[in-house]
Amino acid sequence: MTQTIAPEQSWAPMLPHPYRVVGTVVETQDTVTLLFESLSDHQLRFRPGQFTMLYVYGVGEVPISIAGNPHLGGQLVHTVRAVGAVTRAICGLRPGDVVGIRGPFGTGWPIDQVAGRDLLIVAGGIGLAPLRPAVIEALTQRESIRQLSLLYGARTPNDLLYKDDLIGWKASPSIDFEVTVDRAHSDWWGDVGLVTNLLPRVRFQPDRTTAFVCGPEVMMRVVARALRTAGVHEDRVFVSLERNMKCGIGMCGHCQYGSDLLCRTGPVAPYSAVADRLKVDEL
Amino acid sequence: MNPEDTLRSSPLVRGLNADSIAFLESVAAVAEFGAGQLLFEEDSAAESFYLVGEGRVGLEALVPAGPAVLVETIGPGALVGVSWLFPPFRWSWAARALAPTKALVFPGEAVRRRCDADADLALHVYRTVAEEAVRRLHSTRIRLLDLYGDRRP
Repeated sequence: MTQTIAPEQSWAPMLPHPYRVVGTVVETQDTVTLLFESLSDHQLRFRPGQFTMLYVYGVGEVPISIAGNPHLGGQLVHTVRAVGAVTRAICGLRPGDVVGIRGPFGTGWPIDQVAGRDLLIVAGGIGLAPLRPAVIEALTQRESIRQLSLLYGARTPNDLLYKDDLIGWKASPSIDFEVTVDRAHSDWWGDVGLVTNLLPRVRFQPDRTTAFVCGPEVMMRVVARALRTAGVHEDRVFVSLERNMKCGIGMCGHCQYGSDLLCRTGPVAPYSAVADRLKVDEL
Repeated sequence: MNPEDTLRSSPLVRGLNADSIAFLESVAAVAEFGAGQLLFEEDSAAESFYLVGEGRVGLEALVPAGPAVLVETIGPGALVGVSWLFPPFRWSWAARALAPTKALVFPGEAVRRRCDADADLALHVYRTVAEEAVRRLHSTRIRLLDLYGDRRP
């Protein structure tokens, strides 16, 4: 397999650039949003859906989706869930701490293909993080999109991310936003149930709909099947796949997924291109 | 809520013969519930079922020393209640309006009796309830995976 380095990555792509933590928001008991600023002339411009390699010096490097506003230059936002040694270290960072960042890497959500169409965004759990820039971008381009909807599923009300955003989206006439959780007490104002239960609540014309879906793979399969049943073509359903990204430039092969190296040809891919592989055990 | 539109847009009557639709219309009544009001209590007699027209209903379970646990929420166009169709005709869960809610309410025993004599209606009722039950079973199984939890399922 031959991979070429794209022109935008012709700068030393393995060299981490120093970024300083300038703010943190504790989203849930295990998830933190961090705001970074560059300490060099490296200004990171990204497309919604791309990721960076975030290096905690002396601990390790992990791929993290970019969760911020793509239009705010000089500001890099990552939302990180503490699930391993490196992500626990990231969640423990404080303002003033410095990390190394490489990127951005990977494909993005094809938001340039949704003009004149209905855009349905479906997020599950931490999967809202890589979709947040797409929501922001879609709201920026709202006049060119027919119907814009966001469906969000989480474990419990305490596990919801970006609570200020959620309140704003719920109140906004520009986006139909529905949220559901797996478990809740009777004081919860939203829904309880699977995120696909929310599909009948939002308006979309299946043959004119593009869907962006991100969450656990089982959830993405279930959502993709529900959308197929509703009449949305699988070519127009895009998912974001999480694998063991390492180099970010398609050289090391850690993220090989069948014939793809997901750090280059992913993480965002049409469901039709990966549906068969999602059924392969341990791939 | 327009009662006629609510019923006619339901899978319960889709493809059903005119006589059976007329029967359902004749026995349906409009029920309104304020936010927080119970539709029925857990383990009480299941004498009716509901078709939600507006609002939202939560199925809930009482737990000691805390607020009730919401098991599932049900929105417009969906049926509330399966226990009315099968012995011992008692509710497994409580149902509470989570917002101002309007629904069509159908008398369970009258519909069951009619189903005994009307195969077309019986097919529609049992098929609609079965489809809804399968959908909720599927949803519950996926939630059992705890996809958003700490460990990969």
